[in-house]
Amino acid sequence: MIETTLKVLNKAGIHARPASSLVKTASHYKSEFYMHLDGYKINGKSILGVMTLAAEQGCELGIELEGEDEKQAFEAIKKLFETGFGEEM
Amino acid sequence: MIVPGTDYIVIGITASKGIATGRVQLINHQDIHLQEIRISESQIEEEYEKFRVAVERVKQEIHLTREIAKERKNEEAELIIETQLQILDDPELIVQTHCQIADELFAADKALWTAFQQFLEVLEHSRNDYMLQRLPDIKEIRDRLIRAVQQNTKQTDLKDAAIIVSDWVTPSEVLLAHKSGVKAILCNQGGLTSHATIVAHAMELPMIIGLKAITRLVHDGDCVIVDAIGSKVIINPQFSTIRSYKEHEEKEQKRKLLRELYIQKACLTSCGEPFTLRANLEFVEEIQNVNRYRCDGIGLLRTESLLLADVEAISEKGQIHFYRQIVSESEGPITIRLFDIGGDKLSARRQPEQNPFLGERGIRFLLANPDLMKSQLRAILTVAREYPGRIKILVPMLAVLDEWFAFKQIYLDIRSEIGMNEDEVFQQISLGAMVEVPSLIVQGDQFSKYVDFFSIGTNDLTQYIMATDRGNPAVANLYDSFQPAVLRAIKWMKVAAEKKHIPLSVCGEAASDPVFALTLLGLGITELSMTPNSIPSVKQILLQYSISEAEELANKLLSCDTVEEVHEIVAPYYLSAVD
Repeated sequence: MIETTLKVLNKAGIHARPASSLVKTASHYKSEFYMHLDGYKINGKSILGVMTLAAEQGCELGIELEGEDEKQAFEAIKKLFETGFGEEM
Repeated sequence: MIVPGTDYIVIGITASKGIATGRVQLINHQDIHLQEIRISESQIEEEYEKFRVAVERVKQEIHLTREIAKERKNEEAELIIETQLQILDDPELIVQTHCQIADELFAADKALWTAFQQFLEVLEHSRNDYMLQRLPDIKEIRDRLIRAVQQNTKQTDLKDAAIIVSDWVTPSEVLLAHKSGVKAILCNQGGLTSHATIVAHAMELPMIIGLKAITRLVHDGDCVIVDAIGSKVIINPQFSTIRSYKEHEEKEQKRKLLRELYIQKACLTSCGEPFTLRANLEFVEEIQNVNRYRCDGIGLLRTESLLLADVEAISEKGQIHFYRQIVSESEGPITIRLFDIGGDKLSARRQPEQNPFLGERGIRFLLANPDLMKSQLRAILTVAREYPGRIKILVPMLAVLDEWFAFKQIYLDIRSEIGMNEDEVFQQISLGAMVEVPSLIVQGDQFSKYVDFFSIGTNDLTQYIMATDRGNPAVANLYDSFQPAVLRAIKWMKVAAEKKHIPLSVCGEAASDPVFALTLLGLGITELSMTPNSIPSVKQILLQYSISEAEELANKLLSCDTVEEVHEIVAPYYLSAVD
């Protein structure tokens, strides 16, 4: 199991487009994926969940991954966060 | 207050261009009423099934609009559609809805509503503007799901030549309006990216949205002018206003009539040589266009709409139903392309590929997942047996002959599995190769020894010959089917096929460009397949020229050094194309 935090770097935060890419990426992997913010926890493969998180720039999101491909999944997700989901940072 | 004899103008947003004058027909959408009953435990499975079927139905509808949005490069619409598809696959939504059914014993519609409500409540309290903007899209998908569960597909009778006025419309209502001869649609609400506006645009049905209170300003039978070019509606206009718009409308009508005229004409060049125009098709809903534009059969039937997420096809029974419906409701030959998975189409693989267009796409994917191909072939052959001589099979993305041999072996296995080996019907099914990978053209003479026919996919061929991403604006100038290299590749392929008397057609969208179509004719390709509504303008130009004139054009283009030279030569030809 991987437990860590990732920071939202892009200006607009996790709005619809980043949420969609995050869910798309996470869904490629078998591992369970959860994110939490201020005690609110959501399934990272659920688009509705990710949208309700409404994570803005600067947020530190708790990340939990568990499953056989958790390492690969984490690398892919980390890359999305680090590149600001391909948006302006 | 509307005073007769003065123009009362309401401004909105044009969603689909055009001008129309007509009488109002108001449509009232019933609000959603949820079933407040409690189900019994024995009905739980039944409600699960209703929910599952509703999700599939809405997905099918959305796939239709997604293709249109992609074709039109409407990125915002694509994002909304992508998000809505993700909502339909949302694991939490499914779990929550199931919980509401099993624990609370709610019927599926109420269960869905409650499941959505949990997310919507959080979003509604969000102070994040981006999220608040998404609320209407989420509610739209919720309401569509609930209507699908309730099978609330009761449709109002739409009057011929009416102007439909409503709070909002659904994509299927737009399709119905188009079929019923409605002249225009006006809505209080709506965003430019909603599914309904995308469909209206594709159907060339004038539509103005964002008119706020139009439903309260007009009554059934009121005369209105819809100016979906100037983005305004004129209610009970003065006579002089009607007259000036009528002129406008008549001009538009003339253009349409001219198109109609060409639809009726026989496909013969000015020197009397016949050519064939077929339809590219993906959905059952489009069949009416095949007949309307008098297409000579279907030159390309895409089958990716039969795929669900996780690259699993719908049941064989479902596939058979789809093919049967297409074949029975149309005439002429039908070329069915096997699932072209990969590239930009449905790559729900576990490990995302670095270069999907160069990855496991088309036949490569099918050979790696033979069960999927087998079930498709079984379904196609089952229907082919019912309609002898109508069906051809087209294999996408062939790069080497080994792939063809492997496909052929599986095809023969399925044929004997069905037990119809000696049957005449099966001997009649032609098997063809899609020409899109350059290696196939280089080995064109060798492929010609084995295949029954070729079909060129110009979009992908251009992309692969030019090594150019067709979605990347930075290299857009290279992505041009008029590039001399592309024209020469087509010519080579034609020569190789002709030597072995193998028919070669073009099913790429470039054939919808009238001047490109004329060039293809000049290259000796007399069978073209395209989006049905491009047929009038293509036909119009092909009728004007003789084969030798087309050949002269093609030869000139083949000797050009650069694409700029090509453009210079073709430009004047566009003047003789109307539309």
